[in-house]
Amino acid sequence: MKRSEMSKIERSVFIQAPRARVWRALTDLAEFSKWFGVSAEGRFVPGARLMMTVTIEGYAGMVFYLMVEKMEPMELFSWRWHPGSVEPGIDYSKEPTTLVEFRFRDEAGGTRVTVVESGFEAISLARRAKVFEENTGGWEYQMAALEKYVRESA
Amino acid sequence: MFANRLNASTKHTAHVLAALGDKTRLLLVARLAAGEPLSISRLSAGTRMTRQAVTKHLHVLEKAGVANGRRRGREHRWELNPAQLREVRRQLDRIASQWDDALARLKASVESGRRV
Repeated sequence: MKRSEMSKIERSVFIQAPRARVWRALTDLAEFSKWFGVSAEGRFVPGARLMMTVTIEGYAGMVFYLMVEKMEPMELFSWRWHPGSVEPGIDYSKEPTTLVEFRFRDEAGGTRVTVVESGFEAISLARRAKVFEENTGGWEYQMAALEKYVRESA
Repeated sequence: MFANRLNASTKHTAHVLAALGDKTRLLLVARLAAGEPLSISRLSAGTRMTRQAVTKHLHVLEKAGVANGRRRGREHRWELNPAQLREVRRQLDRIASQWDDALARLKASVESGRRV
């Protein structure tokens, strides 16, 4: 198994609209806020750090930050954030971030958007815990690969 | 997107993620994941880490509930606590389903507003 497969989440959706329209729904902050369930000020531009306040009932008022990485019109929109980091009073700045990437592709009658959230290397150990339960050999194999990765990238 | 993400982000989870978000500790977890309880000497073998450094990292893992240390004779043996790791895995699954929800809302938002 490749490391990347163990450390990312990938989802996609087909939208019956042209790519330019879908791009706008993602990158126009006012539009984004509506479907994402947040309120925010500023603009999506590469390098921007946006503070977002959740508007979803039950969680309204909680704050998180999103660091914009890349904006390649109608191709790629990406940001970094901290997985699950909204506990008030905790400093998350030193914790690992995950990378969220949206990619856009024409498909008959509309656009396919794929979102990949990656960087769960640390967290993905948890996925392997399942293998640990089911198959000790598999777990050992994967952990050997992880160990190799960690040593080489140290 | 956020309801579940927020739900998942208990203080405890934050500790677990922080504990695992370090290369040395990942290496220790990888070694422990073979399943057999290991001594500090075994855990530091082949690395440049001192026993003290390894011990310090193990205590971080122990505090997060990821690993447990037990005395066996004169030595401490360390092992993983898979239950804790499973809990984090469940959160990953939750994050995946949150993306499904978010994309469904994006789709609804764009398609309901389109010109016919």
